[in-house]
Amino acid sequence: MVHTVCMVSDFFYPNVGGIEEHIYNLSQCLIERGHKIVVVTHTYGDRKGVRWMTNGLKVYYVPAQVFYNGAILPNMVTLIPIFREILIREEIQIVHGHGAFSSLAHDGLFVGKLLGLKTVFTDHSLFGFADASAIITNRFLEISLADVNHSICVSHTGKANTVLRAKIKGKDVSVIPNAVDMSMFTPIKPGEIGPPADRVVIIILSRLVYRKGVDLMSGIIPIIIEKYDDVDFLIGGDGPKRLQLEELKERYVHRVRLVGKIDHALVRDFFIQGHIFLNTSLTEAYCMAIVEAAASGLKVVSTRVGGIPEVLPPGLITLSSPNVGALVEELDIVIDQVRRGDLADPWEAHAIISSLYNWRDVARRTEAVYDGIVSAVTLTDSQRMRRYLKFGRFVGPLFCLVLGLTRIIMWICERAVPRHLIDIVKSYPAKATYKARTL
Amino acid sequence: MLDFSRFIKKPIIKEVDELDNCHFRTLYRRDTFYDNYTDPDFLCSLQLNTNLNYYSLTEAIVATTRLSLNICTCVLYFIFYYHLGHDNITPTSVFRISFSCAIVGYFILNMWRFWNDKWNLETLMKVSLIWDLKVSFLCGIFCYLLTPMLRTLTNTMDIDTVHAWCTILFGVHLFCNNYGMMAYCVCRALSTNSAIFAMFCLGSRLQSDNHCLSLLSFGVLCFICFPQFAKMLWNWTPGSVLYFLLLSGASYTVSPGFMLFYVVCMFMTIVVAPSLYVVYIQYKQNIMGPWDEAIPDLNIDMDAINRGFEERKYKPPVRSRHMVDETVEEWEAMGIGQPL
Repeated sequence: MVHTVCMVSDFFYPNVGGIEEHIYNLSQCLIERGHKIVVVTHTYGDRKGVRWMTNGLKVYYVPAQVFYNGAILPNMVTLIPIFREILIREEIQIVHGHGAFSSLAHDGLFVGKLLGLKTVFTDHSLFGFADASAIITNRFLEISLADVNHSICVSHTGKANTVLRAKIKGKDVSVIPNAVDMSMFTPIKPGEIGPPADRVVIIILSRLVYRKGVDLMSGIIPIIIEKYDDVDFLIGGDGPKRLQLEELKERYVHRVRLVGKIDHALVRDFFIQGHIFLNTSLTEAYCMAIVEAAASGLKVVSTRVGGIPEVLPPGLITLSSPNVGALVEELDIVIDQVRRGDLADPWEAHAIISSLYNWRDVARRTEAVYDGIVSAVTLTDSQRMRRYLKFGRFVGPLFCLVLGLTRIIMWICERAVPRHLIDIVKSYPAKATYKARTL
Repeated sequence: MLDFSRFIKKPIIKEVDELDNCHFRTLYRRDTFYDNYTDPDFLCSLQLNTNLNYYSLTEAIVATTRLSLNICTCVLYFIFYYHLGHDNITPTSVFRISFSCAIVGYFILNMWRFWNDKWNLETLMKVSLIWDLKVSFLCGIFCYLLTPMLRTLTNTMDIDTVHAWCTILFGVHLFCNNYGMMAYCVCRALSTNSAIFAMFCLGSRLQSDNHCLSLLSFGVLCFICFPQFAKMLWNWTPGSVLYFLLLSGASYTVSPGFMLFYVVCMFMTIVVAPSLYVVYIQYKQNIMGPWDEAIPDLNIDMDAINRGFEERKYKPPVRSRHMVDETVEEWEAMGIGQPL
């Protein structure tokens, strides 16, 4: 069954990150399987209007102002006309939103539901329940996912989190992990310059923010450096906490090197300069960096948080509690293994990870979700209102009013630009060139 | 060599094999279930109310003393402002009260510090007494010099505006004050400064420089000196009750309405709020699980690390061959030599 899918998210290229990569690679693999994919995101600088990417991936950069943290202001109303036009002219059947933080995704899903389309939501992040921002965000997610046909999470921990946050049924949430482009992340090849044989190099690559455990890094590095004469640190990434590591660099000027932000295309070259990859994140739904590092032949030492224990088999990763002492102990063991050469064969590890995580498999499993929802019954407005009314005495009626208001706006749009006057666009002449369907 | 044979691609089509009835909550391990399969115990990692503390009603009421003391202090300041403004008390008597309270309070505070072994006699003499005398002297001089200017600070404003503004500032003072809780809203600097600003605003509405200066001196006693003294009263309920009762009588001298407002306010703070807390805490459901942001444990033996660093300090550091550091090269080129 061929589907026409609209991927909606605030986070897409030219911005770089996990969600952006996910949307792009998933779209490419779905196009390969014969589906039509359109991406909708907000404008990035002078990148506005319609752009075409590889294999006819059409991207709409809609005019919406970024409000906070790369996401637009959630309003549910002002983007209705433009979404309606896009969804009708592209003959979209399924609206697929990405990212709980993405207001555009929630707006897109809302308009999709107003037009009676099927909706899927992918949650990429974990969120707590205790603080005020979590309570507000979870409430919005609960409202947004109340009438979404299906949700996707990237790990089992993520699924438990989403089920609790959005109060939806477990069977309506699938677990489909992220993947990594394995052709980009290969272990060191003969002829390439790697780390020196007489030293052990520990690689760190992440955004240098609190959630990535920079405090832990700055606790571990002095201990390891004082302990071993032959262990160096190579740190990539940038962020507000960089200064903390700069101070360490000044103290251990020959042993710690900060290289700043690294282009995604150069990450593999960065990885092969080391033996061990250290991840000190404090929360992760699915850590792509550890998969990329393991595929590049590095031994991974990571904190046991979020979905990380689910991602890599025990032979490729060493897990530790998020405290300095425990991480140093695990690093001691791994450094000893590296010195003795007692590690898994990098190419074998690469082959295993390639078989576990690839975008074609992700696309195949996502397609199964699309196949499952396409015959689902579309909810009527009264059914949706009945669901909204369960949210409480204030929020429930409020969202029923919002639904009523958006219905009026849709009616005005229908009067102003009737559906039959919207031109249906010609699809890109893509064909399923790949034998993916037979997979 | 490690065996990876069991980690193979997860199939979407159900296959029958020996693992058919076994669902793994891992992404790398093979199982034959659909992606949306939910095993009955998939929420087994959920924990409820792990860090929740339950308090009895008495404990909760005693704990509110910290807040009620501060409210009482604000009310006391307002009562003095009112009576100075209406010439019911003279500035001289306010000075006398402030001065004697300061001396007695200072003596009690230092005795308390001394008996609790917080400070020894030498520290008391050197640090506390001399330093505090210096600060008091300087503050007194500056207040005296600046009073004529402060008194005309809000001349162009309406008195209602000043009163409303002061109410907001006292609210900020109460909200941001440190009651012994670690929270984002706690900011001692903001709390003290808002109280001082409110104090100046009210002082500027009085009729003469002497009135203004006497109220300021009383304000300094209330909002700068008393918070240190109040810690002694936090767990001494009879003292707080006595303070509250005396103030109820004093507030009647302003107006019966003001007294009613004060009593209702204290009743809400001391009785209603703790009772509601004790009743509703049992309904709290704090969900914890592996999705929570971990709190990094940074407790490390810094002495050991620093000792190691000191030992190594004068040795030339081992330089990695492959790590070319531009800064070092630049320094070497400039002839500065090897930095430590």
